[in-house]
Amino acid sequence: MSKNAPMRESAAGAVADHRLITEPWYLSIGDEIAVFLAAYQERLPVLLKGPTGCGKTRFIEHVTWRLYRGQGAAEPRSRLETPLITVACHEDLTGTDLVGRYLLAGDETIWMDGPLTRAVREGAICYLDEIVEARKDTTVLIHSLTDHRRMLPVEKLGETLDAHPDFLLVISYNPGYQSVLKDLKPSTRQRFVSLDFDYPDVERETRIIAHESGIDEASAERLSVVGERVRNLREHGFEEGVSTRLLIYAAKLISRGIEPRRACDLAIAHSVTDDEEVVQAINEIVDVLLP
Amino acid sequence: MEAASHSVNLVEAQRLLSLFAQGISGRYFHLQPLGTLRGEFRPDAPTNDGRTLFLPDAVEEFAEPRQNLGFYKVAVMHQLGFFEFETWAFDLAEARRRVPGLASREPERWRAQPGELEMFFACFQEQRLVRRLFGVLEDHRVDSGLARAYPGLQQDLSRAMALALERRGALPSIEGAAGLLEALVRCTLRAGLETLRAADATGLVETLIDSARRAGEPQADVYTSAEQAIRCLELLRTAGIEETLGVLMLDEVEGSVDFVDFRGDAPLDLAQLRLRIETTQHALETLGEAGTVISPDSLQGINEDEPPEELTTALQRRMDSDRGMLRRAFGGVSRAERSFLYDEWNYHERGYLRGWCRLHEERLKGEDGPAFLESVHHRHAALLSRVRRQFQHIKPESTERVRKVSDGEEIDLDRAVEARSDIRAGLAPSERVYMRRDRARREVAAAFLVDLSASVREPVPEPEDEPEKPLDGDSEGRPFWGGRPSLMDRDEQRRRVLDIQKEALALMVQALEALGDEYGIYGFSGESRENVEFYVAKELGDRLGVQVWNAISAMRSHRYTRMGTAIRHTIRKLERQDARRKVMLVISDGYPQDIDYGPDRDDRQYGIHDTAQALREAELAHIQTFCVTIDRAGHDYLRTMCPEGRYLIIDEVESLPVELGKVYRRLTRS
Repeated sequence: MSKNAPMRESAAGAVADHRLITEPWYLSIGDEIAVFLAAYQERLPVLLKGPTGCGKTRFIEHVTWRLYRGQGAAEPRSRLETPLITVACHEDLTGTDLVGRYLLAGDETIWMDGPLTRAVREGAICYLDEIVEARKDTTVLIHSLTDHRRMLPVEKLGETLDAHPDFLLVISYNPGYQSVLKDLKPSTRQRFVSLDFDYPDVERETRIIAHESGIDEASAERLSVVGERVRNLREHGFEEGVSTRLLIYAAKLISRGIEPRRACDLAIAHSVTDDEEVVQAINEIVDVLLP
Repeated sequence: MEAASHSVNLVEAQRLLSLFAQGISGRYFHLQPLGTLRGEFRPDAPTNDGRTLFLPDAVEEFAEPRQNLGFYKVAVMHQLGFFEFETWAFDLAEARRRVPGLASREPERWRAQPGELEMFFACFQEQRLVRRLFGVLEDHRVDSGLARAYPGLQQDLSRAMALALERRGALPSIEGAAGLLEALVRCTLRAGLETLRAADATGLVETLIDSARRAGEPQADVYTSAEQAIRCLELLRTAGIEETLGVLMLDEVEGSVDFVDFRGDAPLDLAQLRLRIETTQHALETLGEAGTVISPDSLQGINEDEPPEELTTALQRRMDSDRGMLRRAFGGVSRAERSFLYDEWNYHERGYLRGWCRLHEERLKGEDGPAFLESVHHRHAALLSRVRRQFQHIKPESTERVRKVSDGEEIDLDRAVEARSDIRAGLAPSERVYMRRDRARREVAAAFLVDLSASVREPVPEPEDEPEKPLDGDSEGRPFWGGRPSLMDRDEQRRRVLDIQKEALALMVQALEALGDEYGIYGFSGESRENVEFYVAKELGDRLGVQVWNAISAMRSHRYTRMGTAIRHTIRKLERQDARRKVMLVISDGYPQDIDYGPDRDDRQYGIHDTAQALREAELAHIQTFCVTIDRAGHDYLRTMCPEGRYLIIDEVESLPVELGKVYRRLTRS
């Protein structure tokens, strides 16, 4: 999470407005940055696929920064206060939450734009994280925004908004643990350019852990190897393996003086599973890998 | 006998160690107690056959359980080390390029076991001694590699080494080849070098120490061990190997070099045996093809001038014998993906037999799913909608109204009035004036455990009246479904118990999907306590798809019914579920039996009591059980076996689908 991302609780759940004043650090794994920038030039909606905590959100922050804040960012974009609006979708998230609603204020009602509407009006990038978690009525909104029409019907206002030329919709989706009911429909999926993400290899993950937590390279590498080995147990009740994010958490705890094995127990073993034997097995793996 | 409290036994630690091994290596290993090893293996030395790790039944050498578990970890890591540090990657041609003095030597093929490493050993007159030297150096290389890559293993490794060293007793004066070999082993166990030097009567120990050091260096690979093994052999020759040892006396030398507990016995020759089976098989397959030249490798020991038929027979014979050797050595080679050990209840002695049964888990795969589903729909169209209706009656209870939300399908009248009056009173009203219907989680996890023993192959007694009208009939007026012969039973037109079980499951699945309950479908059979088979058609948490239908349609009848073990395995699966209510339905057609279910094969009571005990274990784990049986004689034993009111005997097999639905609803009613 970048430091300049104030969180705001709202009916829509966790909506984060990113002002992106400083460049979010991101270590590229392949050609994903170039692909995204090309997709943006053509205003093609993008789907980020991959397990939790592998860097999807950081990636979108980074490319948004490049487009809105980096060198050569065009004039209207660079002045936009919140270029990235992130919505963490959950099962109670409705279309209304995204579009907006009338709120009662005293004796009158005030219209309040939802995060999606705001992004459409202002020309920001709207990032719907874990879109399949949201209720089905949200897909209707996505469809009209992602084809040539690029418009958002706002039923309650009785109007249809044409998207700002800079607006782009980005969604993320984690094929690993979604149930059949929550699969992304082909009619939705086929509107996006897909970028696949996975956990980085040991060498890159080491650099990421070291950069994010500030621990030394050797310790970061050991944690990265822990991650690699624990991911061998993916099928045992935790489909995803341990995320890079959790490895960074462990590293941060260590950098604050928590004993390394204890830090791994807290941030890795107990975070990925409730199965006590799997927890113990992870701890034994950590035990042999750490000095 | 009750084990000491500090000891750790394999049955308790098996899942942990198995997960540990899988995490470290990325591959799954079966874990088996050394007691199950047969053949030429030392009964006390851990080993592996590439798929199974054989470990001691219990470790109680150290005072702390943690330390005893550490010993297991070291033993496991050492075996995995052969994979990680690429012992098996040895290639004789490469060795000839890299190991000085080897290029000029030809392996004596007639003496060689199959495999590259064995060929290397056969390059020397003192074949077995070279194997031993190489083994010690390779063990050392692996341990050194482990110590570097896994710093946290250091303590356990040192402790295991110290124990091994202690067990070898006081160091006698180092004399002759046997003494040098012993010195080498001690050196790799981190014995004090000064002590070794002091005991040296040959003046050669220094070179030996240097060999060990080289094999233990970070850049060493399997060829380093080979090179140093040759160097050590030269040294032993200098020390008078001809007089004291000689080729014929090698057994004694090996006897003097005792194995190191945690290192065990790397099955160099057996790993290669697997390879030979593969090449023989390949040779057999290609033999018939015109113009095939059989490579000399695959013909070792077989005269290639023999006529093709005899060549085939000879190859076939060798492959069978190799397979037999592997089986003898490792006690059966399992096809299954996973295996687990379970206790069994011995009612004669009123106690558990620890780790008595081995259950092999396998995923069912098939391809007839869609056709199977279609045939079920054809046959049971009316029944399906009836079962669905019955289940829908449960549903309304399971949706709940969520009031006081800011968005929903209906207006929550109370809140609306409140808001209105707030506005009148000049207060800020709440915006949460809606309500909506949510599907509440039923939080049920159900496991269906189906008997797939041979008896379910029995045809169903002719029903008095057809349950549903078939669409068509064949020339003899016997029904077939969906306009074509039943997929499940092309040979026999009569339906079997198994068919009805499968149809009942198919109907349940569709009803359960409507209900949203979590469920798993398993079958079991097997023969003997070492081979309890457990088939997974649908794992709890799997989504319903064509694979599930394929798997259900692929259910076949097999052999016996060791019910207790299958129930215990299902308990383990349900225990890991996070549901409020857990149920297990066992569907069988007779009493539990197996060729060795109890000391006396005709003793039905043993199996019944073990099953009863397993069902009690389920209740203790807060799992409700229910047994449905199609055996009309079931009243006799079900009363002993099942908790009261937790069983049902079905007289008409055809009524299974309906009855199963009823039982399920009763069991999961809140």
